[in-house]
Amino acid sequence: MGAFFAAPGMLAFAGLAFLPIIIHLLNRQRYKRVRWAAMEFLLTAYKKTYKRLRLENLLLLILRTAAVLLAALALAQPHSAGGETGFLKDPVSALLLVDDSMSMGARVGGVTRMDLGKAQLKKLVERLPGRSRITLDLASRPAEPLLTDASPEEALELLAGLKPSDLPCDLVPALGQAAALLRKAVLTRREMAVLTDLQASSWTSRGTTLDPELAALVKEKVPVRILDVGEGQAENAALLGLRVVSKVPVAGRPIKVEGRLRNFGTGARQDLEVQLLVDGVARDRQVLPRLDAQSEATVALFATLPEPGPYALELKLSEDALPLDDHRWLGLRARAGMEVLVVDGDPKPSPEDCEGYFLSPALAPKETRASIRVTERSILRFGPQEDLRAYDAVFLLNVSALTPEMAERMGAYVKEGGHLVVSLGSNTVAGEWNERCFQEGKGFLPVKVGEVRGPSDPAEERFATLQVADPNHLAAASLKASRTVGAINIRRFLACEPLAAPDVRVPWRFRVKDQPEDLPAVVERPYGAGRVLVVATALDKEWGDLPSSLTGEYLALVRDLLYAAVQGAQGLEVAVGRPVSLDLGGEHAGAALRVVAPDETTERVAPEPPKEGGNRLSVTTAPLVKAGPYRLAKGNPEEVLERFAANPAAQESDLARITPEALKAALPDLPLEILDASAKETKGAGGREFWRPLLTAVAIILALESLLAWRFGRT
Amino acid sequence: MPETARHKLLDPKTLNKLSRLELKARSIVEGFISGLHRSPYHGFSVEFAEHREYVAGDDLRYIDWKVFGRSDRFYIKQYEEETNYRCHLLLDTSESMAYGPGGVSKFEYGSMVAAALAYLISKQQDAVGLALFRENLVKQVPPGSSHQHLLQILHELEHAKPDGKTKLGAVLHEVAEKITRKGIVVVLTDAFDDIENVLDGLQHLRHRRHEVVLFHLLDHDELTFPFRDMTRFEGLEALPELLASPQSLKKAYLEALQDFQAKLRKGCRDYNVDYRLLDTSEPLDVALTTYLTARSAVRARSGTVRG
Repeated sequence: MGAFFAAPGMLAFAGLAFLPIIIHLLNRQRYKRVRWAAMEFLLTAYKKTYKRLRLENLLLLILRTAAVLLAALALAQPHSAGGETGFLKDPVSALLLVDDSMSMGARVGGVTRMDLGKAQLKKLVERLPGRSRITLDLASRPAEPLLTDASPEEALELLAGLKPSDLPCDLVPALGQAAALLRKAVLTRREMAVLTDLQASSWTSRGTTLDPELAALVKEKVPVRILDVGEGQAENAALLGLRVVSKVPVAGRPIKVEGRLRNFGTGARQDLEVQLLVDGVARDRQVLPRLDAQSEATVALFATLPEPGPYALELKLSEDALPLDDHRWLGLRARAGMEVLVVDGDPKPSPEDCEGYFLSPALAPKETRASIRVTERSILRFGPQEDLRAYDAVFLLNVSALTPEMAERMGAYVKEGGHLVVSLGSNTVAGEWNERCFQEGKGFLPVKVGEVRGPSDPAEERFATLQVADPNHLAAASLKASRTVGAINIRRFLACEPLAAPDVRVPWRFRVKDQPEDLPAVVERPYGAGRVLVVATALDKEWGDLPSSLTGEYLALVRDLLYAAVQGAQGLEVAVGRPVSLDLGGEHAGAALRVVAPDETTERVAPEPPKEGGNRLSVTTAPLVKAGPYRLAKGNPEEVLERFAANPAAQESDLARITPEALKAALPDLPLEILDASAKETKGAGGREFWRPLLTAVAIILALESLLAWRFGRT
Repeated sequence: MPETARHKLLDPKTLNKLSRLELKARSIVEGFISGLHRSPYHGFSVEFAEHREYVAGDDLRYIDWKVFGRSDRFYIKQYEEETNYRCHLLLDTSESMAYGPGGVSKFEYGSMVAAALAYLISKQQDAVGLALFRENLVKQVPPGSSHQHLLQILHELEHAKPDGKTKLGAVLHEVAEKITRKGIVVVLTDAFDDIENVLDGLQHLRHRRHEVVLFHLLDHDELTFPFRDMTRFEGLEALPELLASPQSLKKAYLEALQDFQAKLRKGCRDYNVDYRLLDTSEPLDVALTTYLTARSAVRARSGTVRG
């Protein structure tokens, strides 16, 4: 690197070195006149001191000129470009690892940490010896260096455009990967510099064990310098979550969303405004009067989605030092309503004896009729003519068995995204269900149906009760805290053996008196793009007292079953840096699909072909590296097929730092030199700076000049 | 008279504001006399001449008590002039004497001293003469004791202007040759001449048995060299000019001046010349005191004791 001065423009001030000479000459032009009588003595004095005066004047002039020259030199910030070996000596292979995590975008005093760090790196690069090579690597993607063994000029150009990413970083693993790159560098003299804000989560999230490559680098005594740009208090409050509380977002009806926010700062925040935007238009706002330091709060907001279709929801918080986490996005599809088909497997002449007598009103009470529409069908009329795709969910109640054809159609329906709830009962023919629908685990039914379990004495009323087995499951969402649901008596049920698969979940179990183990009551499993729930007992009064419970448990359970079946119809979001998989209808086959990112850049995506037995397509995007709302679209004018979002990792919002001492203690095997950004002198691969000794020399010269001027009688 | 008022009366700047030299001389002498315990006018003659009214400062021994008994008023007995004494005032009128940026030049100061001395001497009934000189004598008033004579001296002083070079040594030789009758020679000069020549001249005067008083007139600036900024010093008496930083030359200049003064003082001491440095910023009574002291010494040496 040719640059010997960090600020060569300042060398122009060296021209001021002529100033003392000019002042001297000007002083000789500007004088007083005195008619003097005692001239003989003055001339005697002059002759006597002439040579000494000239010498003194010369000495003072030299000192003054030297002071100006050295001051100009100090302003130009000279440095030894060759570090230990000096300027014009051994070039160096320098690896610059930049922590480009979201926290580097935090502003302190109006400047982002990244900008502060770029200035530091620029200085460092400029001070490298000539012919040095630079590898520039980002901590968010350490395996993909931006530059490898490039010239400092190229590095400077690239550095200028560097911005913090929205991704989280793990610095210790990144150091390992950077070390591997540096060990492959072309030059034998190597150095590594890491630009970071020392955010605690970036340094300790994945442990502090040194990568073997890094350990090898340490053995080779390659210096690792940390340029710390994280000093200074950056108060930060962040939105950590956005979820849709309403189970079924229906167009034209208000939906409720909930935002979770946290104050990571050290002081309380007042009057925090949270806004809800739908497709960029503000719909609701809440003001949180106070949020204490290190505490969380939840705010609820409402919006109505006018038409069925995909929407981008955004929560926006009053902006602070770190703006990115003051937003949270979500893609949400509003339904026109939910169509549910209820198939009665044991139709009776009397309505109250029908299987759906209790279920249908529970699914669609009067006040929700607009959002959930129930169609009841007798098993006798449930046949091939039925268009299952017209329904979001199908309830099969006490159906003895499906014909092979219907079983196949039902499997295809679920695979393509349909939702099925099977309630077993007295009519159930276990063998046929197992043969046609379970198919030894290959079918859509997630359980192998067994025999009927009930009391040995038919007169005995009390046999089993329902117990929540998985409180996190949607099927238990409403009743997981209920104290009364366990009192509802279940007289009969079918013993079911859930499929041994990792995606099979059992949210409810039967607790049978004197039995050591609870038995599965509700079993759920995704199948294809859809989902199947099996309830191992009847949902009418034949086998239990569920419908007759007066406290609403039945209604809650039935609605939870429905929502558990259609889950996934809720908001669509991922953590930034992860891909998204979307299901599409078969009608989009062959269409040119594109993903439009928050910055309106587009990327073409190819839909994967339908899986066996179905016609639905799926699309998997590339990792979403920008936080914000995305959309899957096709055609021109654009038709938006789906909206989804990528949100920043919550740990990035916590700007708490690991102290240099703690970092050194956490990485005892890594000899780190930690330099803070406020240090005027940035050491680096380039070597030492000289401005400080130069300024000291200027001060000494000026002091000497004053002393001599006084001694020579020039004051 | 209060001390401050007397000082003001003898302050050269204050005196310089008076228009006529006669007035200046009288003010100086009166101011000077008022500070003395004894009158300088009495007792220098032996033959009684007349009475005059007592003035403050007169020696009480010379009060004529008989007249007091008759008239109830104090009268002093005065005596006939003893004309043995002659005082020659030599005033340097070269250009260097014109220096005086603060208000009173050396020449003006010297003139006032000369006038005051002339006035005092005249009042004492001694004879006083005046010689103005540069490279040689340019004006001479022979000694006399009348009032008219005093007025002539004052007239000459008033109309003299400093100009030209000086050759003090030569002038002193010339004066020594011209004055045959011994007396007091008072030289008022800045003595900016070759030191050896000056001392030779003084020695010559002493050789002629004159009592010599050298008033070395120097401006306060010349004694302290207070200049700070870059200055072009333009030499008087056709000396070259010099552009210099005064601060750098101050020490060497003062050394040179003090060396000159030391030599002059030593020479005067060696030749029994009464040397007195007069700073033109100081009151004028120093000169008068010096003169009176010198005169007393002469009288003592000549064996005439008065009063």
